[in-house]
Amino acid sequence: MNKKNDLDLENLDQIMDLVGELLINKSRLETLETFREEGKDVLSQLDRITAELHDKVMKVRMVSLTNIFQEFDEIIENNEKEINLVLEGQEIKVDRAMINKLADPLTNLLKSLTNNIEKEEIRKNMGKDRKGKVSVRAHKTGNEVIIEFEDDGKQINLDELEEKIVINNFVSKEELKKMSIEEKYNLLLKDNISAEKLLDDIDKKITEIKKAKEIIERLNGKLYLELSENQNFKIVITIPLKFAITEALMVKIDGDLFAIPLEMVSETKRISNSEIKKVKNKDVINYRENTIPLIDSYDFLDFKKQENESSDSEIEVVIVNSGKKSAALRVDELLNQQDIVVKSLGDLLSSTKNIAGATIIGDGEIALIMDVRDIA
Amino acid sequence: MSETDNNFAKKQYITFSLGQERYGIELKEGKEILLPPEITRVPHTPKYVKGVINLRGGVITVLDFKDILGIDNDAIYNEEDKRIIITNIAGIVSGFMVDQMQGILTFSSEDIETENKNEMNSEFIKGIYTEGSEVIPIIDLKRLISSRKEAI
Repeated sequence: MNKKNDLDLENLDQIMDLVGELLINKSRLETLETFREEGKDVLSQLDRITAELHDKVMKVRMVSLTNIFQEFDEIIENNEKEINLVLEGQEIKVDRAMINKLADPLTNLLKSLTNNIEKEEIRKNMGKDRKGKVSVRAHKTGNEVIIEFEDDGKQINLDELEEKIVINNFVSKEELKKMSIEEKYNLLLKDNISAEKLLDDIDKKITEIKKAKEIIERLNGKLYLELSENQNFKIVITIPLKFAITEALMVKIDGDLFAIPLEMVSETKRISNSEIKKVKNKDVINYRENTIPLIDSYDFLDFKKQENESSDSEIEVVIVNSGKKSAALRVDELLNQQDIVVKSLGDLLSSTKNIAGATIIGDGEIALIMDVRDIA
Repeated sequence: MSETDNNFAKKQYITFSLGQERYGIELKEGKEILLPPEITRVPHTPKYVKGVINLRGGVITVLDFKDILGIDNDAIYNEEDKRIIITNIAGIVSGFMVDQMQGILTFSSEDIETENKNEMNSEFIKGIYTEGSEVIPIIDLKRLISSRKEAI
């Protein structure tokens, strides 16, 4: 990406911040008594304009994956081996900042896939197509973009992998038996397991995948290996689509404000102390005929609690759900629901445990956004 | 001619106090100096992460030089003297707490002693500038930021 693009991005970021502030101030106006009576028309106009402005700025920020994929053709052409490249989903749009950060890891991944294709001679002897095949397929779900990389070159030899895993004591024989093929494959990506020790044939490709994994995870995305329809393994990358604005429930914990995205919240409740039961020495409550864990937000956030505070006969909890699991999160105080502008915590703190980002609320105060995915 | 081509080129350095000692960073690494605003703590982070601040609508991480460099936390300065230096290192904008600003110095990079920097016992010092009896270690921000990026 050239310098000019970066500068544009900086301007766009600033416009985005300004739009965010505009939205915040609009919601402050909405709470003012005087505006409720006489200013209703103005407010609804302002509402429409800010929403449209936000939408337009977001659209300007989005660029298609073509920006990255177009380089792939070149890489394939410059390769001495004959390779068939299948690209799908180039038209999917992702935030500019994300495209800039994804370009290098994805390009390196493609290069390692092309290197993984055997020479024509070898392919012929193995009964494979003379021409190698590399595919990159992107598609979109509700809140993420999924990109899958696959090649029909050298594959993981499962027997060899299993044998080496046991020899190197990475996992015991008993544990290995319980694992699915995909779980065994994904052992290769673990930090403390070196691919060279396991498979010398495709270790270069695995090393490259691990590098990409690290970068993708820093962007709050995921990377893992999956079995493909052809019984090869494919690399699956998921990237969160940045919805810069989301609805959140605001809560107070130890004097600080926190936001919990509403998509994670089932409901809020007051429960009496007598409803708290113990299972295996852990607090649980009954919720819709299920027993769910009761988690104290002080533990979740590693805050120290003053001992003498637990005299209340009732506590306030947020029922959060992550996938199929639910949990009750005990907070000090339940506040309002509001639209928040999601901001990253920056390169240094972006992988902080249980925190997904930050937002700035009306008076300039920062509220951290809780990540409750790992709560239950 | 670019700066890096010429070792004799003079550079400017921002200097500041950390506990009893005076330290410096390159002026061009600094973006601005702030009176510390309200800092929001971030859970599950190491001690040297003071938290995050709102800088004109952006969320900026604030780190403590003293905790990173292992300098004693002597309370010899007033709270009012404390400042946050906002830096931009390879696109990563962050803030650093210092006890007191000490002004800007200009000297050429050959005036910076790099030989005995190991005596400083810190991997984040790239050299030492000596002015009279005063010793001013120059902090290697690039190294510091990239190592923190790995660590946190």
